[in-house]
Amino acid sequence: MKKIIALFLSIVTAVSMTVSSGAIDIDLDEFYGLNDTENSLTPTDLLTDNADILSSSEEERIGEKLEDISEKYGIDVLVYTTRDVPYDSESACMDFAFDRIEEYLYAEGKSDGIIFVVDMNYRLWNMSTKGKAEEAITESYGLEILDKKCIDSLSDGDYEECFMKYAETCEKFLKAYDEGKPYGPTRPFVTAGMIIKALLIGAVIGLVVALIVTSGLKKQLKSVDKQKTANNFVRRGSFDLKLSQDLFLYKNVTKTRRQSSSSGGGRSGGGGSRGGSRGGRF
Amino acid sequence: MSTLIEYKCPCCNGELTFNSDIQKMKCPFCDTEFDVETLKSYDDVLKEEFVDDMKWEEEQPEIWDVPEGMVGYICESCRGEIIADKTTVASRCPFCDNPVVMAGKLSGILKPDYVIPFKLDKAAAEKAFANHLKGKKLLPKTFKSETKIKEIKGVYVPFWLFDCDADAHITYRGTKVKRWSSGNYNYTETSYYQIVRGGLLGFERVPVDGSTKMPDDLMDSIEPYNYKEMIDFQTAYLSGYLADKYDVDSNASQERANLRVKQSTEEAFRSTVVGYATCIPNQSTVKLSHGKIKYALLPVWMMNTEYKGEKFMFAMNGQTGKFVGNLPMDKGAFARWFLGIFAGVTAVAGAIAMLIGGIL
Repeated sequence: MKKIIALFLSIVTAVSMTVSSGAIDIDLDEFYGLNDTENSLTPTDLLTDNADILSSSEEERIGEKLEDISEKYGIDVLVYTTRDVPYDSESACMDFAFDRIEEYLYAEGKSDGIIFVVDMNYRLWNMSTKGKAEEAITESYGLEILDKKCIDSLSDGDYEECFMKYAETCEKFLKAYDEGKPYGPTRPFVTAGMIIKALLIGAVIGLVVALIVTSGLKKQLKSVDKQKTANNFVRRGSFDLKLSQDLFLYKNVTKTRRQSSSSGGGRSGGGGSRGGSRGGRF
Repeated sequence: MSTLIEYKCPCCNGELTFNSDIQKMKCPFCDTEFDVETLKSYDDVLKEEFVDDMKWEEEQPEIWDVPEGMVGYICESCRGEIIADKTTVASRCPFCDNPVVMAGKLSGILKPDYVIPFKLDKAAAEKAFANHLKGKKLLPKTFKSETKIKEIKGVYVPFWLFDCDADAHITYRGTKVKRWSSGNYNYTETSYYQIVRGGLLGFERVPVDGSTKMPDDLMDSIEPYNYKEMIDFQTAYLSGYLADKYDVDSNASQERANLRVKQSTEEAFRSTVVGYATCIPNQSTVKLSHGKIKYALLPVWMMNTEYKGEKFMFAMNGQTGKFVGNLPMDKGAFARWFLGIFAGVTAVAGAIAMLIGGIL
């Protein structure tokens, strides 16, 4: 028995030494299943376009932006497009997103990051945060802002615009967090664009109200008008409806396809113990 | 064997053909189907000829044998003629405020049938004018101080009063709409109807002013008069007041009366059509009967003033006290109000938009 165990151990040692010396060509990563490239990230992949919705120049631009932010603030900002979310449900997409970011962070030896997953098969999206990213971009505030900023262009098919807006907004949130003044209900996230939009809406309402009020004041000055009718001179009780006929002629029916609710329906949130999360359909 | 009748499609006016499969008339152009009976009724209504007939009975008032003591004035500017008794001095035209010239004895004018005597005096007119200027935010502040009412004149204005019965026949095209959803689709069903209304409506004493110098819109605006207080005309009522001589005869006034009567009739019958999403008149005819025209003098207090080179005319119903007259607008005040409201509401609405827009 002792002899058999000893023989076995020596064979194993020999094989390992041979393999590690390169004499026998066995890829240990593949042997141990660490090279599952279909759904894993290599350490340098902040942007993964498995669904192939971006051109190579767009990939380059977005990739550069993501690297820039991640380096500056030490929190990784990821984008991942796919067609491989296993089920048509928002929780499946959320799980998929957490799996991808956890794999990435583990491979990188890091703990802080945010990922934006877009599944082109079921048209699902999810943003999930880990570590410090959960504090910088909170589930209840930051992810909601990202949702409002990005998902419209995702629905419209402007993928580069969507991901660039995602990156730029993440950058602003991470910068504020880095400075010790993270955005939240006590420190609202306001951009010049938002201010201009709000002012425009206010101006339109202001114009309408001003017109109504000043027209009313102007009307006060006018008391002279021609009478179009003789309603004041109708002889009381003289109205006699002698003929009243309602004849149905024909009808027609038209139908229009109902618009499926776009991004706005069914937001899911709550990553629970895994981190912060928000998702939906587009 | 039935007679071949050609029917036009009420939807697209194409020629309809009988479809034996469905046993109905079908339009080969728009595919709409109709019952034969429905088409017959529709066609019958269209075939009837309805034409407006708005003629009035010509009832000429008698020539007025003007008593001694009544004099006529002619306006230097607008050539209008005003009648007053000798004791009433008319120095300025009540309409254009220019000097008048005494013309002498009057003749060849019609005697009024009725008159409504003045119920309110000059003091009441002055008070009403002061009230008219109150509370007008855009009235120039200097209007009150810079304008002086030169003369407030009590004038009997000539009116033609029209009585009639209107016989109307109006057809409409109406629709009813039903909406529902099923599966992936929204459905809209529109049903089309031909609607016919007809009947009678009586009018009494529709007034049309018989003086070209009296602006129609000003006289319309002081309506209505209470005809219960209208009495047979007597010259004595003119004492102390001016009377405008008519220069628009009843024929010329009929057009105005017809328009008002027709509009009112159409409105009255339109109000009986209920329950439709849309209702558009197709054809409308009004015939008049028992038309009578009378000539009456109705009391008006007239005021003229001038402000920054522009003339302003005011009138008050001498019986009810209704005061009318357009006022000038202070453009500066208008701009200030507009900008102030605009700025205020923009700020408030913008702040609310920011809050709702997602910073909460």
